[in-house]
Amino acid sequence: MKMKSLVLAISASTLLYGCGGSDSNNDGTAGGGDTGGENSLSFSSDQLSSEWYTQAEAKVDAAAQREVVNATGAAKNVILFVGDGMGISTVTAARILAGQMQGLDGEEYQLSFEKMPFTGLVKTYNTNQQTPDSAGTMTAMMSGVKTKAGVLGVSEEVVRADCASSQGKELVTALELAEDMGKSTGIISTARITHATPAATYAKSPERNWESDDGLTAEAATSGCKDIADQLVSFDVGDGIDVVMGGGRRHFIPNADGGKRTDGRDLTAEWKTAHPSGSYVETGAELGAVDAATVGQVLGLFTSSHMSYDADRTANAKDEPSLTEMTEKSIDVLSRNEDGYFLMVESGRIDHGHHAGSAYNALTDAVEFSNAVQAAMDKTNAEDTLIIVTADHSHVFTIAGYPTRGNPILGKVVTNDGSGEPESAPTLASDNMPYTTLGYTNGLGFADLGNETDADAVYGGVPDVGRKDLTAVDTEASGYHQEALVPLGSETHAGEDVGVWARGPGAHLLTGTNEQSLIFHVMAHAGGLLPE
Amino acid sequence: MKIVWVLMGLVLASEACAQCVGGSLQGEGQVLHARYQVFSEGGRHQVDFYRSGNQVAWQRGDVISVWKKEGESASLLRSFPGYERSIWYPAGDLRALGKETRWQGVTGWPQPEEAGFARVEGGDAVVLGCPVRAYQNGEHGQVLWLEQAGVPARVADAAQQWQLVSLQRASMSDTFDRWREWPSTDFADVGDNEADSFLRKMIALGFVEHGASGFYQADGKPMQGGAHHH
Repeated sequence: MKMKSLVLAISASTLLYGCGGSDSNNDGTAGGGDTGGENSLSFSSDQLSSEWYTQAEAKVDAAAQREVVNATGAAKNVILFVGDGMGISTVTAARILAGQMQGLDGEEYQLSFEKMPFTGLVKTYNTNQQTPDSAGTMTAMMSGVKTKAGVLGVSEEVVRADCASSQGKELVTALELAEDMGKSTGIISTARITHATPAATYAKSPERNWESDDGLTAEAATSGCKDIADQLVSFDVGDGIDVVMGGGRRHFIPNADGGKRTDGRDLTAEWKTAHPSGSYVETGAELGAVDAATVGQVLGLFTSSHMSYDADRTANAKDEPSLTEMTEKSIDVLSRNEDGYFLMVESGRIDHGHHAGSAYNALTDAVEFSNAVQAAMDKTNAEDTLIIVTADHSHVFTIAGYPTRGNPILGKVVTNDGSGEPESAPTLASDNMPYTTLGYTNGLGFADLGNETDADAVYGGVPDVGRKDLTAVDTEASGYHQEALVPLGSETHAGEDVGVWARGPGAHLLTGTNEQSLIFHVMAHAGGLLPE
Repeated sequence: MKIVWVLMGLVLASEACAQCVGGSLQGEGQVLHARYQVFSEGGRHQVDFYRSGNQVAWQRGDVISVWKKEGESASLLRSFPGYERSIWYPAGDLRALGKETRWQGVTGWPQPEEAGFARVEGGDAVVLGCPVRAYQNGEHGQVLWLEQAGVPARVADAAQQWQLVSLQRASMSDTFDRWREWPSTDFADVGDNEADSFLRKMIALGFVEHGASGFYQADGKPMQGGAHHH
């Protein structure tokens, strides 16, 4: 329909409003400056005063004023946040959950990083897999080179788990470049610090599972490959990584002491010897006692394996720091360097919550991830600090049905009636059973495990997929696991693009749909990490 | 009923050589090893129970479930002797899966009184050379309790019977230490290792199936610990 042929029937009051001012859009007229007669479009006062309208208008105004910074090295500091497995649907659901936790409808809420000015999409595939894993994706982000699934910091020419094939194929990472130019560096993860995502910042390994020496093959040992924990402690670029916090203590200590190492080495002791002014901590309380203003380097290994899900940590008052607390402490320590810093922060357990088919755990960890990003935004200046927030890959996690506005995101679908008002009871599917908004395409499937303290409960875990009668099930309970279609022992990653959000110098370079390897180059350019 | 229990104890005592001598269990080592035959409508199978300090294990067939106390919670190592591999479920992951994580819930055999059983006067007997006490809960719940070892010599309800057939001590190196030395994969990491042939096979088989548990139910009945739960 052509605009000039459109004749609007408008009320008298709207007409008066629309004809009363200048020819700008804000006065209620539209039509490219042609304000005459039937060719004029007029806005109703309702439209002009709509909160949606005014907010979006203000946002456009702000964006139009925004200046981008293209200068190389304009970002003194670079912080890369990675929500492991935090696909687009996870961001949407976490946003709604976070809003509903604050008493809002939820859909309109914004996670911290969603307030950042620049957003793009990222293609996540590995060079040998359509749907990727964390090792290959994080290697792409940190080195600018896409590679195979399962390998860390080495190029796609290597054969996975073949040490000899990886030698000479090592890739330089952004963290190494930052260290080499005198910046401070830090890595944080709620997963094991030797796990794929954090390991890709510092390690070179053809096998992500070589986290300690017990995992090395005979060929690896013979050919001279070092395990990942060893590589972290012996990292010798610059003055070494300044702040390391996460789980995975078991890979640093001998098996005789409850660890995994078979070589008898205690890497925590070796680290303390090498860093006499540093601070090694194992609890949240110990980390809290660290004086960021004076401490040397920091190594925090808070759990034997992965750190706890955030919901589990809080519910059981575990003495582990939150991701926010680790982020804040790290920035306090790293920002003492006048030359700036590079920090990578991973929320590793969003991924694990999804693998277990638990939207509750995945989303509550995603909300805490958002809190950590907010803490970083609060502690830094957008003029000299580039903050990038992204995910390594997605999950087969869906938001479905036509739930009414504000419907509990973990709840059963309640649709609207014919007049657009919510029904009084959950909507029934064609099988006459209610269904949830959230679900998984594959995995272990349904479990009604809200009463997790039941002494009769024993570990099951055999996939229980397909439709279940949820009529009497509290799907908002922490122990509820969403239905799934395809039975697998663990829900899988997904292959669609993930989002990237950014603030600070060079942030605009991330707009568009890009390969994951672009992230390295944006960090390198903005941070001035590459040699001139 | 009293006569039945006494006779049962005598039968059990005659089925195996004495394994309590001079008030002590035979054998050496820090690990208590109790072997049961479990009878039910589905037939008979064997379950081995191991306990040492803050860890217990249940073995049925090719799967060993090793529970370790962590504070008030428990982690689970599910070991597969045929592969010398394990899958580890930290308490947090078990909780995320909505599974039992309370140490008291998985420790094995609570005292019969704690499980609601009442002492049966005159029902004491000797099993495998060890003195046992008789307990009853309702019409079908029966336990012969071997106080010396802190395990039942016999547990029965309407559906099944657990019968102790051997009791001895074992070394840590042959049991818990050995199982923990096998390469393990965190449950949380299974999803990242679908290419691992062992994990793929375990997933296809339902790798957490067939685990013995051996708990009393809330009503005092022994659980179908060695049976399938699904």
